[in-house]
Amino acid sequence: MSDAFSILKVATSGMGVFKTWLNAVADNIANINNVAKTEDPAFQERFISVASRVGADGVGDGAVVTGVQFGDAEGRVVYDVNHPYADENGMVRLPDIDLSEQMVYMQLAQRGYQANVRSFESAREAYETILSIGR
Amino acid sequence: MTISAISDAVTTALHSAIGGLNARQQAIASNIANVETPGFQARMVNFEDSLRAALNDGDLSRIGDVRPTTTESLAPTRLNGNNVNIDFEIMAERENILRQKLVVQALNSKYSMLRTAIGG
Repeated sequence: MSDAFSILKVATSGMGVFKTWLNAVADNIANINNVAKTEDPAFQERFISVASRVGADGVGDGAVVTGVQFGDAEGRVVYDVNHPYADENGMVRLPDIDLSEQMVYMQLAQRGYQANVRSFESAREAYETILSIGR
Repeated sequence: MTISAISDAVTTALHSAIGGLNARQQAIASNIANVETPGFQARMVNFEDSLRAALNDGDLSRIGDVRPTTTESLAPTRLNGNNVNIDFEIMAERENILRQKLVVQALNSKYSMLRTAIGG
């Protein structure tokens, strides 16, 4: 218990984490078909890294996004001879992103966000109960 | 803490219980926030044991000084090192809210009794 209404902040930190994850997934899906020349790097998949926080009293204090990691710039080289970016062998570079994997991450992020919204509502209810002391 | 008509063992114990339940609510919220954090171990808050011991002791200052203790859950860990069980957390969250309402209701009854006594 750091300060008044701190549980609301804990739930909000969770929402922030899952929103950032959802952003990363949306970015990955939006760029999944980006074609690059073979001499250029492919779009790199976005990952976020998350850490938990613990308050001074040992009770958890939510989660925080600690950074973004980038996937392989190698991508995959595919044959598409009609593409304007194709090299002399007819090859172009595409990002190495698996759409089904991204869809799973999207579901996880969405459900996680919903769970934290629920947690926020419960915290609000708890504080309203406390504020009714002495009524 | 001095013994008075207003703050007797019951209200002191209820105050401690509210503090403990609040800490547990925060631990649950934090577990839910970390439901996908790799390597995170769910935290659990206990205050009932020490509160019960203090009540059996009958020492009012000890009852008012009950501190919640935090332990890490021993639930099976998933592949990413995380062991938060979302069903358990949601259930614990609802139960915690109900317990808190119960404690607040008890406290309000106590205060209402006091008000009746003061009003004569």
